[in-house]
Amino acid sequence: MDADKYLKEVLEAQTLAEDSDEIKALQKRRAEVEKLLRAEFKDSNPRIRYAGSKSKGTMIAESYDLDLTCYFANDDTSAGESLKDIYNNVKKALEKKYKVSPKNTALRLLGLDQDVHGQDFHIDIVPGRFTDADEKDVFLHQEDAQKERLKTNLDVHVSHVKDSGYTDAIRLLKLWRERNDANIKTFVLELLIIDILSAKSLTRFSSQLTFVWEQFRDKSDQLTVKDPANPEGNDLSKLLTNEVRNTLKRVATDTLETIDKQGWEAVFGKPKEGKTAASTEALIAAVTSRQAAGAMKPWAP
Amino acid sequence: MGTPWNKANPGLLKQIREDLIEHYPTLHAYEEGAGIVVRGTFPIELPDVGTAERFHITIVLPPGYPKVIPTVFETKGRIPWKPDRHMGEHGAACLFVPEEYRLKYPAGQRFLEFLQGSVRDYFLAQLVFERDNVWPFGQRPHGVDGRHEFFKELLGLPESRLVHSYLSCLAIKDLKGHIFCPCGSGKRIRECHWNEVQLLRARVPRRLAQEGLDTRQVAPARPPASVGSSGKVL
Repeated sequence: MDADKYLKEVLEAQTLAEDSDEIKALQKRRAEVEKLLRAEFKDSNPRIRYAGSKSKGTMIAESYDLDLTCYFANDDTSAGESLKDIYNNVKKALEKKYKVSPKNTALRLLGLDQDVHGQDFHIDIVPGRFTDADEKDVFLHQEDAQKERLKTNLDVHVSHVKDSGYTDAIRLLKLWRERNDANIKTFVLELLIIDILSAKSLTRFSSQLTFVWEQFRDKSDQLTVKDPANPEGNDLSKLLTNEVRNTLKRVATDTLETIDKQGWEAVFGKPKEGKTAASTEALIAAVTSRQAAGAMKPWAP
Repeated sequence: MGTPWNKANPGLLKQIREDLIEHYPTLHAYEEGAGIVVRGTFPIELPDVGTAERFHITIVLPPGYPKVIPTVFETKGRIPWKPDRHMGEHGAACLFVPEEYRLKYPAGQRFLEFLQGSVRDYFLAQLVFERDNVWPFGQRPHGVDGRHEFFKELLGLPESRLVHSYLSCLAIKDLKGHIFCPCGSGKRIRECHWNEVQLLRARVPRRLAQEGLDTRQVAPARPPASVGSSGKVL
């Protein structure tokens, strides 16, 4: 099969329809979180919006998070005097219903069942305060960084990705990241892809992906990213560590070799991978053949 | 500490990378610290289904590999970190009793065979357990009891309480006929199970018996620095 035709099929299989169970579940979760936040901050009317892949058009079915903003007006102090107060008060509000894991600028919602390790609703809430009455730029509290305040702009981020012309390439490369467990943040990966592809006019998906991987393989130490919403004020270099560069180089090198030796399907698998549940017969057949081979029993120290 | 295997034998690392590209192209070998870490997703392929599931894993190949057993971590929290799911507290997958692996593969295994055998069996078993609440290949009790169960089966003993006395016999360098028989009869071994014990000594390496006598609890494996405390790859 032609590589681009195959990649289109992969993309189609990774598309979540608006009436899909996954999107409905996402909308339900959003409604729950929004209701909780509005009840807790009823004097504030926080701006709660989709951010992340849902708003950028880069969602993939295999792995997605729900990113929601919780931005407060510039002159509103009812949610907290400082950015840190806002961050902590939103955290406290969410803890009434969820276990909350703090990230640098966001709050990740986990389930309350302590027995289930890693139960993760894949919901990130990003608290912040608008810089002025225009309600465009926003200040976020940074939990881990030396600089406590980060200026950013969701609309600029969204349009930078959504209007780049490369959303399909981004979706395929996000799937590639997921399948290979490459430890690079989505935002950084998106910026790198747009930057790399903007330098060359390539229309075929297969050429776009190959070109990005070649850059990762050959120029991993020269890669740079800039925040389009705050190019001078937000230093993203800390997100492009040597470890991240090495990962990109290793996975891209292996991927290009895989395509060369085995073709594209060895990289992304069957387009509808995971859509067919394993039948009892298939599991029994797999188990039986391994029983005969002397499979060892699992244990615990 | 000697030279790590990947420095002493770079051809082996090259072989591992070639095997991964051919058979597991979503797994990648990285040089980290003194060893090699293999990271990516591990697919469970089933006939007529294709890839039924993918597990995010990290496998640590320590400096003493292949004699030292690799440690497998499930890094996405897909499987609860509970002993009953055969998962250690740091996301370490408890694939087998270590002595069982060492008996089966005294010189270690080719990495591809390890993936296609032990690693696949473990994650396949997890899928079956999630679906049917049954361990398709059985399971070992936790801790020392599980290791004793393995030796009980290996030595063909009727009761677990005999494991220690038999292992003691197998661990002795020069077995003398006047010692008491490990079966507990109270007779001298030369008048009781001498022949049977000699056959076992030929089959079970002395060092393995010595390891079996060590009833200290094995500390759960810890993930490499590149895997955070939550299990998630950083």
